[in-house]
Amino acid sequence: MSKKTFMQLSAFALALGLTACAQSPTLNSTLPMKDGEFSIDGMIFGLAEAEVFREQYDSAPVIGDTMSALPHLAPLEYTGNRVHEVRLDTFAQKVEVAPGVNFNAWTYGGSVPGPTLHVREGDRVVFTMKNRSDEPVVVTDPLRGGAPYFQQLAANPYQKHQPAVSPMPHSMDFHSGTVAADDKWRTIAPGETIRFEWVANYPGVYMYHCGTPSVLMHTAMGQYGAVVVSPKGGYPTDHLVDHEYVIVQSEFYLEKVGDEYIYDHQAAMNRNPSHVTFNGHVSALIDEPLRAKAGDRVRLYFLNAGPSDTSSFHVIGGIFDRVWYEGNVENEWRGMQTVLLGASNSAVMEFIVPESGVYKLVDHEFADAERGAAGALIATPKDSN
Amino acid sequence: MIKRARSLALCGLLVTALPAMSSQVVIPAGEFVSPVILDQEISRVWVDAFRLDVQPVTRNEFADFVRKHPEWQRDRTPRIFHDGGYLTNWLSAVEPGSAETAPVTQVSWFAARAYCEADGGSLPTLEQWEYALSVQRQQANLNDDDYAREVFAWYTQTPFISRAEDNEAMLGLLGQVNEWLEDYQLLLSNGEKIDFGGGSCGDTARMLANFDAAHYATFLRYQSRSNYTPVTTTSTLGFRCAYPEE
Amino acid sequence: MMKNGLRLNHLSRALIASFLLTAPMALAHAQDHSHRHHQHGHHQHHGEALAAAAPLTNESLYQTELSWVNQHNETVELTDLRGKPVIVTMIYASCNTACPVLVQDIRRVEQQLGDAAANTQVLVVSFDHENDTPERLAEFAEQQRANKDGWHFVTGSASDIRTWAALMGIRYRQNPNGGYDHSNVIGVLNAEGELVYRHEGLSRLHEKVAQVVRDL
Ligand SMILES: [Cu+2]
Repeated sequence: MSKKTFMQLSAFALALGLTACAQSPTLNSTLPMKDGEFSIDGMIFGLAEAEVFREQYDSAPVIGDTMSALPHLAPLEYTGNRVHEVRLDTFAQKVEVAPGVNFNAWTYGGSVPGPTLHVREGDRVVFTMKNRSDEPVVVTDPLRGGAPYFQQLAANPYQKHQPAVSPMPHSMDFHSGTVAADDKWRTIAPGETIRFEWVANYPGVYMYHCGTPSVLMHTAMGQYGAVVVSPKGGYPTDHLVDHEYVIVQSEFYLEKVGDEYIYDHQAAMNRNPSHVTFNGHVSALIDEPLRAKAGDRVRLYFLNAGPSDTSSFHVIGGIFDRVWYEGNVENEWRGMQTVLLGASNSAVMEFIVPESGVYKLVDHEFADAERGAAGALIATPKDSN
Repeated sequence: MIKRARSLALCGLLVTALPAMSSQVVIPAGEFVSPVILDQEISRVWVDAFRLDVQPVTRNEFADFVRKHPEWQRDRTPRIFHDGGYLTNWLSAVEPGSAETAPVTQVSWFAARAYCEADGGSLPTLEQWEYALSVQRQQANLNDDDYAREVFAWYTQTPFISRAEDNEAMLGLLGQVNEWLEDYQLLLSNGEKIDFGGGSCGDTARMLANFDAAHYATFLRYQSRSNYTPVTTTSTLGFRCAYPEE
Repeated sequence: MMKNGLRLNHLSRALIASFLLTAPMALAHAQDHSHRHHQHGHHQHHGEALAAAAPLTNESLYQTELSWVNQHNETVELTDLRGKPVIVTMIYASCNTACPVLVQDIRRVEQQLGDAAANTQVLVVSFDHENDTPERLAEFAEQQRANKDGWHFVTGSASDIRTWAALMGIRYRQNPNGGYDHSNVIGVLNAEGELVYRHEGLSRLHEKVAQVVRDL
């Protein structure tokens, strides 16, 4: 959230208070509950059962106006809460994770990590996913009606996406949802579509991933991404922030067989990754570094997707002025040099850019940095344009 | 006509080059140690000898079947038996149109079963198929690491890396298609109850007879196969038939 | 199972290679070829016997034309059930945990339905084709106080049981103790034999099931 939208949001917070009093004093959300749902502490539970069905669908595999490609975060250009109709199909895609190293990944939306979904605490997500692993899906030629994700991908296709076919059963598990996993997160076969809802009851930065067995392989093959649930009252520094970026750290376990790279299970079990990346490529944040000016306050939404390793995130030359562990505004730390995150842990971190120059972003577990977990932020002088 | 003439030539070539193609192999009786623990103990079962197709059923063979059993032609087969993708990769209801000797795919479990029944056999049971694979693995001297690599490579769609010489000894059990089995759906159980941990993460340590990459690869096959529905038709799902050995 | 199971590969290859095999000839072949399903008739062939009735819908499970034997040792063709809603489940008679719960749940549905229950049928298919003879099923039905009009406790061939379970989305396997592990499912078929409702789990949803039947 930028300075621009802060005023808008303050107005919203006021409106929210009033609406909440008028309608249902118990709900966190400005949206009503549906039949059969119940509320505890203002949060909504007891959502309807998932539907699994078959549909003819060959249109945009990612839909939702707040679905963005890394490192972007879509702005929330509305006040109060709203319903997000989101589609994120799962299918195979050949992606590059290091120069000359590409593999047939299992993906959400065609990139690894998948698109970032941005919602606000109290929003409701109506989620649809078709398992299209049995068809080649092109993501570099944006379809009308698709998410902003496609334009961002087309502008910087650093994973060199190529359609691939790899029919497999898959599922979707949103850590941002509070539901019965055996219902909503159930596995669907190629050709099937699942639809379910979840309510963003808690703010934070969350992982989503495939939970189909064998889960280590499905995640190591690329099925994960981030959901940012912004607190309904915002973060206390919203009016000070100049830039927001999303970074997802993850490991790859690849071995070369012939001319191809394939999943190396022994390495995955031994937690011995061939590559550790920010945003899915060892050069993602080096070839296209993050940008800011001296004196700017930069906010990073950071998720360590694992699947198995920790991350000790550090900005060389910076100190994190504020850190909200897991992205929840209640969990505030100050003055952190490094933020330690286990697999599927996250944080919102802010630092002030001290002067113009290059600021390396690293996993300070240097064995991981050497495997690729490094990026850069380029800062121009304070008065530059 | 040109297309047909070419496929004739291709067909003739393959028949002479691989005479074993149109036959079956006897899988000798023996003990099968289940690589997956389905009932809290490592199970050892005796598998009677049976005959097994030496390769997955081909598109040509399936075309012959649908000509004889028109109710299994794609435009006549009711939707309760397939998900809509049944043989949609064929030229017409009765002609594959290309790759006639390749394994047939985009067939549902119902259709695969009907084929085997019409042919006097049945789909192999899970025990039969996995046992046959273990027998052939031994015969082909395929070591555990290479086996695991082949399985992972196949599931990640890089089948051309499987060693060509393995395929004959291995009857194409690996590296060609995922094969339908009569009882392919797992029901992981815990005594009387359905296992509540099963079917998600953290199964490996509890359910593998041996904790190595080969067993994990096998478990991946068990689990992903189990997650297909009987109406599923995908471009990598085919089948072969088993027959009783008199 | 089948002794006449010679593979047709040599023949079919030769025929296709010769390109003399036109579609009508293929049909002629089909008639010669005995097929297990033909014993109780298969799709197109058998459909003529029902000439009087409208054709089955594309979603009707009765297209399988499976045939069962019930607890009174009578043959029950699936198509015999056409015309009235059917509540369905799968059990085995020596099961004393989940199966009685499923059957009692269906009895409760009937109670909820009151007079309308007379217009409803119940099909309880056994997993255990080896032990669940009609006599054994009659005994089980008695124990469950469900041996009454409109209730069919049925058995069939292993293959037909597998087919039915697949259509119902029911997983099962024989466990080492000789019993069966199985998913617990209650379903409702409409008068045309289409599966309009399916619930998995022992959550006693008899009110919901009764509502589904009433709404048909
Ligand atoms: Cu998956």
